[in-house]
Amino acid sequence: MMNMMIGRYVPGNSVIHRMDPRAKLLLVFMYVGIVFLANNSATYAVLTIFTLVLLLLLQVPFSFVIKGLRPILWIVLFTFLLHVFMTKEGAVLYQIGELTIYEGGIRQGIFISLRFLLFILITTWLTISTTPVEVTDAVESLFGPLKRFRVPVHELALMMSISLRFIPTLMEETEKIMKAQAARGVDFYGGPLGERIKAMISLLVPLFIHSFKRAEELAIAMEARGYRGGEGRTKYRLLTWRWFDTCLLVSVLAVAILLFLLRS
Amino acid sequence: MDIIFEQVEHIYHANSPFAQRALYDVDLSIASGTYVAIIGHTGSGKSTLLQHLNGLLQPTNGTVMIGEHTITKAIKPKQLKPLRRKVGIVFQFPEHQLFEETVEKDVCFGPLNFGVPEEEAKKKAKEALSLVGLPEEVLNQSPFDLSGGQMRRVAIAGILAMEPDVIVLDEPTAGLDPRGRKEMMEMFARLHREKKLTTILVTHSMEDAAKYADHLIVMHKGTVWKTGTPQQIFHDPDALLQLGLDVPETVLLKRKLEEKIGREIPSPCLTIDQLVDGIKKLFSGGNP
Repeated sequence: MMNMMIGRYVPGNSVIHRMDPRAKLLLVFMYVGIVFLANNSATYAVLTIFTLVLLLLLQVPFSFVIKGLRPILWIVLFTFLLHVFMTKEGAVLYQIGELTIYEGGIRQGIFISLRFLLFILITTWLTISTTPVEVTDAVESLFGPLKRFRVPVHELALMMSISLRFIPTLMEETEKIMKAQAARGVDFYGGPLGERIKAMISLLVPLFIHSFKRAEELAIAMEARGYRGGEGRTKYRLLTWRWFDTCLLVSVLAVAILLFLLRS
Repeated sequence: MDIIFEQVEHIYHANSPFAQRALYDVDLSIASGTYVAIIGHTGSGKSTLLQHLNGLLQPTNGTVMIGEHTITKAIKPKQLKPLRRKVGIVFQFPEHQLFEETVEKDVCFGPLNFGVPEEEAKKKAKEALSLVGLPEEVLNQSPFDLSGGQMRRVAIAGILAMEPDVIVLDEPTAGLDPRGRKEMMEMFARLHREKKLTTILVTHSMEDAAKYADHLIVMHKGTVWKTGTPQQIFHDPDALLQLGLDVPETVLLKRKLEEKIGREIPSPCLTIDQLVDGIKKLFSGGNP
């Protein structure tokens, strides 16, 4: 569990950490859009440099970022190989029996896996610098206008923050129940399929029962403290938009224009 | 089954930046058939210690010997399954582990996992239920229809049905009302007496520790601070209070009384009965 670095917040006080989460979220959305503009070496170089600058601004040891990538490396490698063997373009580089590797395949493989890496890096950039609560606040604020169309934005944001809040609790509880059942002779890591299903049941049933109970208790506790939905509710954490937020979004636009000019 | 810890150390997430030493230099021995209470603050390593008793955790250094089983860090978890049958652990809030449709199935779950034939498991379930003081009618009920206290008894029966030689209790009375607490503690005392079960109780209640245990182990900051009989441990209340632990109310009352009347009460005063006896002796001492 401790190796799970994807989506992990690393506390810090960099300019990025202090940014308005709305700006960061918008930046990621825009970024995901413009990545598809890149289609040659120059445009990919521009994107990579831009991404690296963003990561440097985090002022977080680079090893944290790398750790986030590790679990996904296999998928990236798989994508790369798939493109290398499947694309039939340009000059032939190697021919081993049935397999032919084309120059276009290598190019395509590198580009697509780079695109993949860039996506992951930018989301890591967001999660390293932004607590889940901030992300939820940003989502609620950005989607606020949808309230007019009767989209329950506040409720959705609340659901999001509650589920995020209870992930560690659930993990802890899973571990506790697993230990209790292991003490009764359950083997969670081996044995025939039938027994393993039984083992999972002995874990999942108590876990579900407790989640429902807890949900009810939470609802009562919230009502007892006067919660009655988003209507007229003020915020504890106020989001403030600074000039730096605007600057960064403008810089994404600039990169987008640059990509337009450089793409072939 | 004697239990011996030799220089046991446990580090969580060893060799990672999250490494945390939960136990170190733990040496202790628990003789077969005794009733031992482990006391200590939250975070003193009690929970980690008790998970070593059936191999849920393996020491990162040192050895744990339980009967003929020797547990070191090198042992494969698979080899520890037979040990889990011999040492039953009742975790805190054991009713959280119930999951079957009927009480009978849930109590049979443990024995069946250890390869006991179904008919025999059912027989053991019945016996275990009577041991924890539940009527046979509950056998076919859903455990989730029972009251909290009854659910806990069912869960404990689930452990007893495995017929362990050692039973480990992690705060078995947490969340029960005073009467339920007393009944629960009396039940374990009876099991200990009648079944010769080696009983290891982790508790925050000094009264329970003083009343029921033959031997106390005081944990502090990840290691054994002191072991001894309740009399030896509570002889010096100040040392325990300094660790942030409580002592039985009667011990404090004894001290206050002694200060007031300027005489010593000839009793350790670990329980109310002992205190009453002590005071009686004191006042009848002059004219027997």
